[in-house]
Amino acid sequence: MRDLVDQNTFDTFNSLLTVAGQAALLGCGILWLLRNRLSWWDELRAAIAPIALPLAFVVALVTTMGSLHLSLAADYPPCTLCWYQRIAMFPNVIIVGVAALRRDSAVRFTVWPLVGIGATISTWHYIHERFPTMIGATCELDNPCSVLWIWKFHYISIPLMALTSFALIAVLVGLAPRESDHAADVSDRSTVADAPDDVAVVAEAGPVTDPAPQPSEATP
Amino acid sequence: MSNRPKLGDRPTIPGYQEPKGSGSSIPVWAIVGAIAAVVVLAGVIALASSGGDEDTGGVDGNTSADGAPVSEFRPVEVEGAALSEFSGEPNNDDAIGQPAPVVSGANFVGDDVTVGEGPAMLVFGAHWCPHCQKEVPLLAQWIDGGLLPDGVSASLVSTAVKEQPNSNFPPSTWVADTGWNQPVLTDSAGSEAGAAYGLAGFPYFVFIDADGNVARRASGELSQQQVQEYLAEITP
Repeated sequence: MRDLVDQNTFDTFNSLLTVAGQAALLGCGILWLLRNRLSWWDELRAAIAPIALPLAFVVALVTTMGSLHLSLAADYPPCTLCWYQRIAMFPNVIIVGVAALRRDSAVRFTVWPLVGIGATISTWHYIHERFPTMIGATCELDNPCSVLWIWKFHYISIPLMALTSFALIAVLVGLAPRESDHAADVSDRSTVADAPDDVAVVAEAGPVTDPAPQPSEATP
Repeated sequence: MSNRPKLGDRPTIPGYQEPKGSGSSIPVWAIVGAIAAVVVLAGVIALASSGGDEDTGGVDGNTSADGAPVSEFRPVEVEGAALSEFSGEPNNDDAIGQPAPVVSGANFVGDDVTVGEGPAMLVFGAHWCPHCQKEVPLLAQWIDGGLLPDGVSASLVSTAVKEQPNSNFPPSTWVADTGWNQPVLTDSAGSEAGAAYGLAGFPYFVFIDADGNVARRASGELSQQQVQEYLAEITP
């Protein structure tokens, strides 16, 4: 890889993927805000739902591989904060991967705390990079977290890539069809343990991926 | 407990089993295709833009304004025993009172420089360290304003150089921009001068008294008042 494509090109590619991810998040956010005026959000959500967990798995996998590439192939040493973000990112490959195979959307209760912690650290790391003298008074000898290994488009650095991936994973696992969508009010309290009951009810009510009634559901 | 799913269980979730019934007019292949298109586009743009290499780093072999060859690394020679690694506590430091090593080398353009003979303040700085980027220009300003007591010298040691993009490389340019007018020692690629003084964290200060012994070591940004206090300890 290193011989075929130089590191700068690779970094640019990863940065562009990050921009695309951010654009997707922004688009989703705008459609969500307009959900009461436009049906696009429901359309999009319904379309993404069946592949949400596989997509989240792909995001986790690409991010993990990218992270490993940066440290192993590009020889960018991970700093302390990088390591904490890695701890929060790498397990998602297995956790979300297994959930995608099992079609288990309840995985969000595991993934959200994990990516929440990761995103918090990424945010802190990014602030540290942008305002390095704000924090502490001493630079570590070898590898302080303020060193910018990648800086693209005047705003993209490695922790911002991580933050984007954490956010994408969080949103995608949230978009997966839920076992208890028939009762959105209580869905957050439902767990895997009581899923079968919920599913039975859902099965009677017909496929529902969103509380909002949709035209095609009205005519099964 | 009987409701707990087994590993092989697939929760029966309608959205998965009947994706066509999910109410979307956007087919899955369209989403996957759109994502694939974005990825391919990103790859094409990255490859297309790789022609213009954004390497901002300078290269050894540059010349200074007056034509002398600039090097970011210079061999150094250490005389005397190395100090222990600094613990981070200036008041509880076993190197205090120990004879400071004397390090001979050169500055960026190759002029001979020797540090470690007291009374002196040594400042170890790394071009990529934001705290050094903040502190060294301040020190230069304070020194220009008369910070140094009579007979006390100050030297900057450029060490731990990293040749990488976005790192404020090269240090020779950085030091010139800080306004530092005192001698500069260019450490070796192995940062031997730094190691000889027990360097631990940037910026790093070593205050050496008139007898050539360590009076104080400190790391991190220091205030003007703090520097003055430490300088007072080594003023002959």
